[in-house]
Amino acid sequence: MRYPALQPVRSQLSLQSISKHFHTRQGKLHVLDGVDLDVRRGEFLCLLGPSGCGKSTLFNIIAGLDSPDGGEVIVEGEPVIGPGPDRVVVFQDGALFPWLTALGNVEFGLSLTSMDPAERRERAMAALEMVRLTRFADSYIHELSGGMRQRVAIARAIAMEPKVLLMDEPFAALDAQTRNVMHEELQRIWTRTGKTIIFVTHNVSEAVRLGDRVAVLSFRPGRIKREVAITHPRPRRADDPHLLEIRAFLVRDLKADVHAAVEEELGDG
Amino acid sequence: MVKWKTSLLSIALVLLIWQGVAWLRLWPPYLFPPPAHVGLTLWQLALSGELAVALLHTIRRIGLGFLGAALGGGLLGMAMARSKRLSELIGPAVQGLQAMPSICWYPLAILWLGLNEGALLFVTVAGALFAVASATESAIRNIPPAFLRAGATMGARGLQLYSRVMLPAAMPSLLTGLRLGWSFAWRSLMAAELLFMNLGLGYLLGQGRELVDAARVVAVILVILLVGILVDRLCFARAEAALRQKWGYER
Repeated sequence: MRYPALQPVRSQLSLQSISKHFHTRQGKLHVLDGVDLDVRRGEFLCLLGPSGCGKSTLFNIIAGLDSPDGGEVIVEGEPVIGPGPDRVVVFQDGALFPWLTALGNVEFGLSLTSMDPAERRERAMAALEMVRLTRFADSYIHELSGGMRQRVAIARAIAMEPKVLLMDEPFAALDAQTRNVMHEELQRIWTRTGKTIIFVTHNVSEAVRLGDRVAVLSFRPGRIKREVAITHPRPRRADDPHLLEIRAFLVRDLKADVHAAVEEELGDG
Repeated sequence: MVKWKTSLLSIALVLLIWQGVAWLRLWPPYLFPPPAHVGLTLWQLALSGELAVALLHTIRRIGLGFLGAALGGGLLGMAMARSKRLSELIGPAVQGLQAMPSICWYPLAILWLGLNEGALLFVTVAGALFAVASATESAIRNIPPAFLRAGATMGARGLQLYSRVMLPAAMPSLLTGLRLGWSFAWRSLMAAELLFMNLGLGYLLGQGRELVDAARVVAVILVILLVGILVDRLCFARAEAALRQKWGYER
C-alpha cells in the first residue's frame, strides 16, 4: 500500500446478475431479477428495500444459505458455493445458542477450527470487549437483554474475523432507544475493525445513518434501482439535517415499491 | 424443600392407611402383612445378601438394556430425521411397535435367543427403543432452523453440525425421550424377569409368590418402586432441571 492512489479499486464481494424465482399458485414469481452489486473492502453497505422485496432472499444467497437460479456471488475472486466462515452472519434474532454462555457463543466458530484454546479464549474475550460485554462472559443467553444478545451476536461474528460481515436486520426487534445505542456502537466497532459490512434493512433512517452507501432494492422485479453514496463523517447523529434530507429523498423514492408490496400482501387484484 | 416435606407427608399417609387396614385383620397377615412385617422382611433380604445379588443383576440388565435402546433408538431416530423417505417408510411401524407391550416379544425372544440373558435384553431394548427413536426424530426435526443456519455460517459441517449444534439444540426434547425410554425399559425388564425366573428383582418377586410370602412380595415391590423413582428423580429430573435453568425455561 505504498501508492494507495494507484491501487485499482477492486471489489471484495460482487453480485453478478443474481436472479431467483419461486413458483406459487399465482405462477412464477421473479423475486430477484438480475441484481448486480459490488462491495469494496472495508465498505459499509446498506441494502435497503421494503418488506417482501426479496432482501432476505438476496441475503441468504450472499450467505450461501440459498442458491440463486442465475448469476453468481464472488468473494475475493472465488464463487460462493455454500455458507462459510468467510461470511459470518448476524441474524435478526441473534440465533445465539442457549446451551452456551456468552463467551461460549463467541468461541463457538473458533472452536470448530484447530485453533489453540488459549488463543481462542483470547480472541473471544477481545471480541466481547469490543462490544463491551466482558462482564457478562459467563452469563447464559436468557440472562441477557435483547440489546446485549445482539452485542453477543456481533462479537460472535467478529471473533471469526470474516472477510465480510453480513447483518440481516439485526436491530429490527429492539426498542427505539436500544436500537439508537446499537447504531452508535456498530459505527464505533466498524471504525475500529474496518470490516466490510453488508447490512440489510427496511428502515431508511438506519440505512442512511450507518451506510457508506445505500443500495435500494426495488419491489418485483427485485433489482438494485438506486445507489446513494453517503460521505458524511462519523460518528453520525440520528438527527443530522443532511442525513434527514437523504432519508426524505429515499422515502419518496421507495414509496411506490412499499405500496406495491403492501397491495400484494393484502391480496387484491 | 416444601416439595420434600409433602412427599414425606404423602408416604406417611400411605403407611398410616396400610397399618390401619392391617389392624382390621380382614385378611391373614401372610396375605396382608403390616408395614413393620414388610420392613423386617426387607431387612432380612438385605442381610442375607439376596437383595444385593438381585439388585446387581437387575441393574446390570437395565443398564445394558437402556444403553442399547438409547443408542439404537437414537441412531434410528437420527436416520429418520435425516431422510424423509425413511421416515415415511418406517415411521408408522415405529409408531405401532411403540404401542405394543414389549413383554409380547418374550416368546419370540426365547425362540430366537434361547432362555438366557439375551432374551431379557431383547425384551428390555424392544420396550424402549421405538419410543426413543420417535422422540429423537421429533427432537431433531423441531430444532429451530436459525440454530442450524447460524452453525452452518460459522463453518459447522457434517459431524460437527451434529455434535456441536444439533445434539445440544435438541437436548431438552432428547432428554424427555430418554426419560420415557427409561421408564419403558424398566417396566419391560420387570415383566421379563418375572417370567424368566433367574436372579434379579423380578425373580425375587416371583419367589415370594411361590413361598406364599406376601411380605416378601411387598418388600421387593418397594425396592422396585424405589429404584424407579431414584433413577427418575436423581438422574433425569436433575438433568432436566439443570438444562431448563441454563436455557432459561424456569418459571
